[in-house]
Order: sequence, then structure tokens, then C-alpha cells
Amino acid sequence: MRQVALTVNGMRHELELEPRELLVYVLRDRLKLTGTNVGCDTSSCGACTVLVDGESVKSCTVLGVQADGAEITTIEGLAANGSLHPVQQAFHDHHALQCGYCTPGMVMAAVSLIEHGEATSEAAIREGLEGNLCRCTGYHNIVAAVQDAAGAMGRAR
Amino acid sequence: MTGIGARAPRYEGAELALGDRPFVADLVEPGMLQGALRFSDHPRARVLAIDTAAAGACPGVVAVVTAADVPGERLQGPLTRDRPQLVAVGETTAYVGDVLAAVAAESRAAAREAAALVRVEYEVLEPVADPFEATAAGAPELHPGGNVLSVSRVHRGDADRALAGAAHLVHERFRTQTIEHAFLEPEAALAVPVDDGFRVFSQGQGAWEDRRQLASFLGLPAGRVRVTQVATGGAFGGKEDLSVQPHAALLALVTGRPVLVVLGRRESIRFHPKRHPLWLDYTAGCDEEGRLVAVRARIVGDTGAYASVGDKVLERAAGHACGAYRVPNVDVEARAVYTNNPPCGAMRGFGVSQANFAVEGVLDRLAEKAGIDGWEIRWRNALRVGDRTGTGQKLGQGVGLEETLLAVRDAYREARHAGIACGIKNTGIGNGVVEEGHAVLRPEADGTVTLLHSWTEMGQGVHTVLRQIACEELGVAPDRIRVAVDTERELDTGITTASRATVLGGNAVLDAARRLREALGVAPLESLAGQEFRGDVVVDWTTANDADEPVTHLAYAWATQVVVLDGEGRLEKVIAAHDVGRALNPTLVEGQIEGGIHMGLGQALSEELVLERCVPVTETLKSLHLIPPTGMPEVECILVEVPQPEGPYGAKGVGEASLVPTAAAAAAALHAFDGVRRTELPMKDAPAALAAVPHLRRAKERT
Repeated sequence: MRQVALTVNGMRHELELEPRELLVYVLRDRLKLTGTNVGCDTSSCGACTVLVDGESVKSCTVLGVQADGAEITTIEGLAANGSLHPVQQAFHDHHALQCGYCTPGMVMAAVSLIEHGEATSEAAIREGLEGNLCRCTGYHNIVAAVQDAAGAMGRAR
Repeated sequence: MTGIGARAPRYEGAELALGDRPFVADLVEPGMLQGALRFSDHPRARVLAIDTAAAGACPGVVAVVTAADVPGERLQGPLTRDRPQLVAVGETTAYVGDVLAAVAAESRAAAREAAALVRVEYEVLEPVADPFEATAAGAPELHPGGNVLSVSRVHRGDADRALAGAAHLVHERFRTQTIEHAFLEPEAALAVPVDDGFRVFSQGQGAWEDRRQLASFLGLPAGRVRVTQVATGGAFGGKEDLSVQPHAALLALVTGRPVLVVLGRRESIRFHPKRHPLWLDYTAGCDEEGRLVAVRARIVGDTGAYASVGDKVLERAAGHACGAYRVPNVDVEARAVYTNNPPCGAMRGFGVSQANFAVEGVLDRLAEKAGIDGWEIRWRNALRVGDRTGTGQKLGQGVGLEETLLAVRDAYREARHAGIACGIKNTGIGNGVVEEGHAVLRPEADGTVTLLHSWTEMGQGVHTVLRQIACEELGVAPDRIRVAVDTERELDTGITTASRATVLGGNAVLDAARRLREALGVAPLESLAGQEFRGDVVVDWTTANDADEPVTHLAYAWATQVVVLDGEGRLEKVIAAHDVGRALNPTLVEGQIEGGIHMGLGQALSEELVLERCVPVTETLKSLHLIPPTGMPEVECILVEVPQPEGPYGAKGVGEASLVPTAAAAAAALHAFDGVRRTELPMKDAPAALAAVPHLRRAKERT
């Protein structure tokens, strides 16, 4: 067991972790943040995407102990004061989610793209979401939502 | 913007965007254990012994169960009860997804480690890898009734004579692939012991069907098993069969504690039924003007280890073998054959998308011979009101195929490289099965209304649409209607399948709303709190394929799609004109069509579950070659609304029709580009495939 400190959605947690525990299960099982979904365990699908120190990371590819000292944002950490984050709002408005299972990871990947200034065009968004699978939508509404959110977030800055 | 025709947002869409809407794997119960399964190591092997001692001795393990622990009927299945939910010592495994033991432990890791320690001794046998091996002389008998699960026939007129007299004749063999659903949420179930039975939290496609089989498996009356439909992270037909619910329930029975079983992705791919690969041998003839005179088809489907709904899939392939066209002479036979491959069952398109690839391909070849283009031959043969379908069903109202053809004509003719294909897809199971819709509207004391229905929301939008109908009929705001699916209230309508939930569920909600409205005429909503207003519909008038005056299905969806390629043969655009009867929510309809085209293009170009001697080797989502965001072309949806009298407000299903024409249209577009007629799916060497899916491109560069 190893002592690890994680700041998740602004809250500091000190945890005793087994070295083999994956970050996604630390979030889901220990911190009860089950919004982050597991789709594949092989970094194929991106359903488990979270932000680690502002970078989009598939949390099934990272050990909890590797995140020691990191600031982590999960889907639960986006909304402020009960109102949807602009990306969440755009996903809702554009019907960019059908079953909703890929959505938390897709939203986090999109937030990262926008915050890194990489959501500059439809093509760039498609390229940037390459690691996140959606089996329901055919992606068009997701891309439209991210474009819309990028505009809204740009205007808000 | 709440009633019929409104682009109303998805029910619980905000909760899903927030990550607040739990899926089964997110649920926690006090004292809950984690379950894990031990699968067979071989597709076909006699199980000589199962030793659970080492597994049971692992720290944290509470129970290890095998077939010997099953109190009820081990063999289950949606139609044919041929699948042991746990394979017993002395029995022979049927595929590598057979379950031999299940473990419950205090942690997921402990359960998985212990499951791997279950020792199994086998007598390994040679597996049967395809339906032709399975039906060859001397093949081992995989099931007591023999290796042919079903034979479906459609026979009208005199095909031999018509073909002999045809002006143009085409004979072609087509082959389609095994496809994995790749729903994003792997199988999961939570079983909780309650007073006199079990409560099971499910993501399956039919809560009542799950209950029926679970109760039988546990040896309990149905009333002692309660199934709550939680949320379903995609299904596409892949969650129609029981999955891990029986194992969770058995472990809960033995331990007396709640048990959650969640599969990993490799396990999921190994475990659940797939899309059938079909071998289709077609002969078709037309007259000088390109009018079809006859179709003869021999179709063989690999239905894999267990029946699932494979007989229905091949029945549907046979019934739709003539596509969306008027064919006076028909001779079709479709067989479902057992092998030791993963079982094949329901997947969006359900045999029809495969058969359509063949019949549309045949039509293109006939058009060439008759000297007309792809649009013209379809126009001349398209089914219209009063015509008879392949099975001989005389079409009444609700046939918008002509309109869908007209909607794409100019785009097809103006594009340099374009392919066109039509599609027909049944709404409802039909074929003589009695189908029902039930719904309850219950005003609550707080002024809200609870809508209880029976259909699984798996992303297609059934909760949203049924709520919209209730809003329209009651004049109540959508945020005051809550939707739930739970077997606590008896509303059994079977599986959410066959693009039928909008029609059957919608009509039931209409009926319930009518009763509630009558009561509202004399009392305000709040005063009716607690009273239930039930709506019911029954469709008991469909017939078998071979009936004298067949009514094969209650309705059909119609479509024409055009796939356009650019100067390099890459996907540029898909134009999809769909007759949906009435678009109750155009945003949801377009979402279904766009998603269906994504899946249809994958079927056309890239997707395949690759098996080597019956063992899946494409065990990750990456290796299945789904089309990524960069590979998707523009999609233009054109909604045609020719009212279907049997549907609510004229609506019919759209979920499956969305991908029925796609593969054929893509094949025709590729032919327009490079002159090559392709007969096998996926067309993974085609320029469109290599451009759309980087993994395919890289794999080709390596070789």
C-alpha cells in the first residue's frame, strides 16, 4: 500500500492505494465518482477520460499512485452551482448523446480540446476526438456540440 | 416545443451529460459482493471436471458456483431454450463464451483472480467453424435436434419459369461478415436478495423477458423476481438475450448478499451474440425494361453456438430477400445453422441489412444489362400502395418509397461517383407473433404524472418520444412527467426489438392518455393522484411468411440512400431519405439515421469480428475497425412523412431502416468509382475503407 494525495474536483483526498489500482477504479470505487465510465480496459474507447493536471487522460491507463499530487477533474467537477458546463449544455442542446455512456469521457476530451485551443475547426475537433468512441450518434452532433461550446467558451473569456 | 413533431431534448439528457444518471455498474448496495465469470477455454470440449477448491480458498472469496448449484432450469433462451447458463461436468461446450463457474468475492480483483483459478479438465474436441462444415456428412451433432436450427421459405409464383423467360439474368454470390455490436457499456447486472425473492437491476432489452428466464433459472415463480430497467449504454440487439443476470442472481442466492457482475470488454466480445454472417446465392431476372420477373435466393446463416433469435433473423432475411421491390415470382430459402462460433442473434438490421446488400447488388447488375441507371431500375421496381412485398403482403397505406427515391434522384445523377440503394424494414416482429403495447399513466399528489411502460431506453429515445406523446395528449409540461420501466407493474410486452417501441408503446400511451383525459373532464389532475390509467394495444393479425394472404408485418419503413465518393474514392457524403411515417421528434429521428449510417458504413467498409477456429481474435474495440470521427462523411437526412395508419400520429420505426440500404449504396458507389463489383463485406481494401479507418490503412501498409 502507498500513501497518495489526489485533488479531485477541488477536494483533496489522502488515500492508501495498492500499487496496481487503476486511477479509474480509485475514482469510481473509492471516491464514488461513478460518472466516469469504463468501456474497454484497453484504452480503446475513451469512456474513462478525465483531466489530470489539465491534460485529457484515459484513466484506465494510469495507476492511482502515478497520479500522486495531481489535480484531477472528472465529469462531476464540471458543473458549477447546478448549471451545466458549456460543453455539457452543448451536448444536451445538440442531441450529442443517445445512450450517454461515452458522454462523460467525450465531454472531458472536448473540454481539454477547447481549453488547449485545439477546437479550432470541425476537422481539428474530429482529429482531437479520435480516441473517444461513440457507437450511437455517428459523431456529427458531437462535433457540432463541441464547435458550439468552443464558441461559447471563447466568448466567455 | 414539447409535443408531437417537436425537437424536444432527450429525457434525462442533462443528467447523462452531468454523469449523474447511474448505469448498472455504478450501483452500490450494502454488503455488495463483486462477481466474476470463468469462461470455457475451448470452443468445443467435453468438460471432465471442474475444481473450485483453489478459487474458493482465495482471500476475499465468498462463493464459487457451478451448474450443480442451479436450483431451476439451466437451459434458457429467448425462444429456443438451448443455452445452459452454466455448463455442467459431462457436457460439451458450444463456444468460448460458455460459462463454467462464477465467483463472488469482496472485491473485483479477488473475484477475477479466483475465477482464473477455477481448474477445468477437458477432453478437447475439434470445433465446427462454419455452417457448411456443420451440415457436411459426418459432422458432429452440436444440438440434439441436429445442426440446422431453422429453414425459412418464401414461395410465390413460378420462379424457375420466370427466370427461364427473363430478358436479363444475373447470378451472384454474396458474403457478409460477423459483426460485434460494440455497445459502449459492457454487460452488467446487480442481483439483490429481498424478502421472498430477488430484485435484479438490468440493462437488458426486455425486463419482463429477463424476469421470465431468471425466475425459471432460479426455480421461482415469476412474481418473486423483480427486474428494474436501470439504463442501457447501447445495445443494438446485443442485449436481447440474458447475459450476466443469471450469474449475479445465482451468486446472490448462494451468498444471501447483493452481487454485482460486470464484464470486461474482452469478456463481452467473447460472450454475447453477434450479427450473423450470411452466405447469399442469388439468381434474379428482369424483362427488357428492367422490371423484375423473379428472384431465387439461397441463404445460409451461421447462427453459432446457440439459437438466440437466429431462426427469426433468417426468417427476416427470407421475408426481405426481394428488398423494396415488386417481384411476382419468388423462391427463397434461408437456413440458420449451428456451429461452435459465438452465437449470432439480434443486431440492428436483423438479417435484412445483409439480404439487402445482396438484392441491391443484383439490381445494379440487372440495370447495367438493361441499359438504365441505378435510380431508374429502382423507380421501375419500387413497391407502391397496392403492390405485394416479397412474401406477398399486399401493401395498404404508408408506402413512401417513391418519395424517398424522388428526394435523392438529382443528387445521385449529378454526383460523379455515387451509389444508390433502397431499403425496406419491418416495424414489429410480425410473422404471426402476437405483439402488445402497454402503458400506465399515474397522476401523483405533487401534480406530476408517472408514465410506466415496458420498453428499454438504450439511446434510441423511447422514453423521450413516449413522454412527448403524453405531453401532447395531456397538455402537461415534459418536466412534470417521469418515466419508469419496472416489472413491479405488470406491463409485459417482450423484448425491445424490431423497431417497434414507438408504434406499440406510442399507441398504448395514446390509449392510456385517452382514458386519463376522460377522467380529467370531470376532475383536476391532482385529485386523481394514485389512480392508474392503463393503455393497451394488441397486434394479433400478422401471419407467417407462407400464409395464403400474408400480412407479414404491421408496417414497413422505407428508405433510399445515396453514397457519394470524392475523386479519390473516399466517402464524401451520404444522402438518406427515409419515410418514417411521421417524425414525432425530428432530432431523434435524424440522430437514429446518422448513427445507423455510421454503423452501416462500418458494415460496408471496415467492421468485422474475426474468428480463428471459432475463437475471436479481434478482442478489443480498436481491432473491430469502427469508423472514427474523422472517417465519417457528411450526412444529409431527408425525412419523408407518409402517414402509417397503424402508427401513433402516423409514425413507424426508424432505428433499423437507417442502415439497411447503406452497405449496398456504398458498394455501388465504389463500382461507380473503379468499376469493381464487390460481393463481400467488409469491403476493406476499397479506397473508401482505407481512407475512413486509419487502422486498416496502417495494417495494409505493413503488409
